[in-house]
Amino acid sequence: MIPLIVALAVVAVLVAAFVSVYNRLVRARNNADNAWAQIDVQLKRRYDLIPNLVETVKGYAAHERATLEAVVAARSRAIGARGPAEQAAAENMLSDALKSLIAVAEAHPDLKASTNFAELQEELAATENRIAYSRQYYNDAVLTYNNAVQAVPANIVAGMTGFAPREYFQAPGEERGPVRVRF
Amino acid sequence: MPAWVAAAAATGLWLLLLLALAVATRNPDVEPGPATGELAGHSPAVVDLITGNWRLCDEAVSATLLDLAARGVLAVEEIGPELSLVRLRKEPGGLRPYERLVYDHVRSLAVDGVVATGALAEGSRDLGRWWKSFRKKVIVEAREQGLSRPRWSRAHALLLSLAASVPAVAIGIAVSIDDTRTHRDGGVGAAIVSFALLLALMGRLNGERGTAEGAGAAAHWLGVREHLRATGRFAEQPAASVTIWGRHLAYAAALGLAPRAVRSLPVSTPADDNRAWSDYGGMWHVVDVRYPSRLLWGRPPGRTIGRGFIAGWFAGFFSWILLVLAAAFGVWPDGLVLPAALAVGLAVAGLPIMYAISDLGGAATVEGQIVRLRRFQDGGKANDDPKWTYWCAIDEGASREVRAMCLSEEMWHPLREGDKVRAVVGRRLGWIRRIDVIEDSRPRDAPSYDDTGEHLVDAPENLGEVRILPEPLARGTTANGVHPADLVTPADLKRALGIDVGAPVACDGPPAPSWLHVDSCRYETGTGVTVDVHAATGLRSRYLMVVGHTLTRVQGRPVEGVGDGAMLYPGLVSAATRRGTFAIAVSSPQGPPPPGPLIELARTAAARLSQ
Repeated sequence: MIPLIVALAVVAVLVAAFVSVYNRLVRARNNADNAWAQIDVQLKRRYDLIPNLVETVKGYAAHERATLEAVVAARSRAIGARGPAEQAAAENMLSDALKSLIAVAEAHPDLKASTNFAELQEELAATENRIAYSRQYYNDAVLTYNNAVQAVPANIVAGMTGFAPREYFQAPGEERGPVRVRF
Repeated sequence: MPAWVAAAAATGLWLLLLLALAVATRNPDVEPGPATGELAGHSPAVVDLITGNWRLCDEAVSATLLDLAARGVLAVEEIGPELSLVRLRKEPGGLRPYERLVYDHVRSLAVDGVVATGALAEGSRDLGRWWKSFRKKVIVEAREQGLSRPRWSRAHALLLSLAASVPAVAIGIAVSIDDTRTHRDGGVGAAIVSFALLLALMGRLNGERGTAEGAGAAAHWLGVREHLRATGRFAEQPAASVTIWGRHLAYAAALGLAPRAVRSLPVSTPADDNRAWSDYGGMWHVVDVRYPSRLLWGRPPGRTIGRGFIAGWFAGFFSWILLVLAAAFGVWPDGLVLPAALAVGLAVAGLPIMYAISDLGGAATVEGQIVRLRRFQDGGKANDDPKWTYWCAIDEGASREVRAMCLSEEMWHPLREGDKVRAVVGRRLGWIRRIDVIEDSRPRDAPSYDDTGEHLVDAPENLGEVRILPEPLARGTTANGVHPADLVTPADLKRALGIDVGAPVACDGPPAPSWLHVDSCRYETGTGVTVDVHAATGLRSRYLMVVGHTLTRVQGRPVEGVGDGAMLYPGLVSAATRRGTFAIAVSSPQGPPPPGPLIELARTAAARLSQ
């Protein structure tokens, strides 16, 4: 009888520990999902701003065709990207293309003086900054999640229940760290 | 004895007078008016004052910040459930003094115009004085609007002060003629002390009291409160919802209906010891700070070795006694008494000594930002010679968790939270041996922190004002803190380009956005050669790196080994360092100079800018 009770007690403790670890993993995963959703919101905000920006620049500097097309192409690539790493690489390309676009504006005083362009530029800079913070927030959430998934003994529960480590939102070769907003 | 009775009677009468005046000057009763959505012209902070029985609550500061956001001066943006940002939107004009105080606090913390809401509690200000100043300014406005007045008028204060002199003199006389005392001196001192105590009591009871107009306004705002309570679920709204709710959320916060939004904007709240916000690396992030037990942490290596020997000796000695006893009872072999005691002693002494030797031999240099400076009492009596341990937590940017280290009092005192420092530390024992400030914290220089506090009794209004001092500029520097003429000198130009130039003159900067302040200077020769030097500091100064492309319309090429990065264009070179960015443009009738001299100029300038 006593061995049976001991065995039941051990099983009960193991089940309780399993449930506790599982719930912790679920919370961490939901946090990471939520953080990714925040990035998504900010990226979509930027995608929505870009057509207006391109149209405004086109009105003053239509001959800067290559730059404008590069921005449009980079935007399309970014919208089509899948997964954090691919997305980050595409977003970095888009950021570079936008920098060129802003530089174009500097050479056209009429465009630079345009209120519409100034507002769009400011909005874009604010969005870039929000993306940077969202990215930091996401990477912190992923770090917490990955620590939870890979640490012993949670990794046993994670392996049994299908929790896999997540990718950070960073382009290949890029160091983890804050994004500098340079607009 | 009759003198003491007279003194007691005089004191009693004075207290009765004080009580009578206190009752006569109590706040008017305020009944909530009918529920209404009409927001009258008072600010949320004033509303907080008059609806809180003329006492200002902490919520007034958060409500003011929300009001600034609703008016477009700031923006509150939600990034995630635990992260929201306050963004400076436009340079405000016509802010009220207390709004300016809040705005300046946000601005002093902002990195690239942004501060995390949780970081609003950060900054090396004196929170008590800051709050007093804020309160004073709100009260001044409420008085100007006829909503409030000081409890004691000048006549009241004069009457109470004169009346207080009677019991004070009576007490002084009683002390002087007291038969029971050997020495009869001290009467004057007793009178002065009594007078001061009575005035202090009078001052303690002083405060704000509402006027009839104030009571009417308070009744209106309590009606607004009923309306807001019935129409909006403000209790659950985050601060970022001010985008939707506008000023209604600010007033809801002032009326105590938006606790979540108020909690998320901790402007008037002391910073948490264990959860710090750091902007090291350029973006605000949370750092968890731990203060480990001091058993083997936060101690200088030299003393740790001594303590290790003492602990080892005691452990070995007591083990030896126990083992001798055990051997006497036959439960421990006689031959192992001494070796076992020695082993215990060595084991106890070994760990701290090894740690200390490790730290002495291999001290590490860490560079980062101070996120927490604390001192905690560690032994001694609370009021009599307390002993303190001094803690310093440095965010190196590598981890979201930091273990605070200890240091000496002399090193601790000059430091401020937010300072960027380089420290020589022992990582095993957590002891800072040397610490140098590389860059002062930004809030340290903020003018709002030069505050004068508040006076309670009939204070002239200017006593609570914040003195806005112009930022002192060292000779030869500018608002950017760097003068372009210091980066490139005539001697540099002579050496690199072989040209003789005159003294630098101010010139227009390159095309740059309005948010970037660029300082520029120009050198000219008699032969038509001009050299323009543009410089700016801060992260945003990196914009100068694209100036070459803007001006020359040519794709530049990167140059290695100059600052953190440099770009070379025909006749123009720009380089970025941690401190800022500069661009050097050389224009000559003979065309652009060769790259070599330009790179040499840039290298010299980058080294100077980094210093």
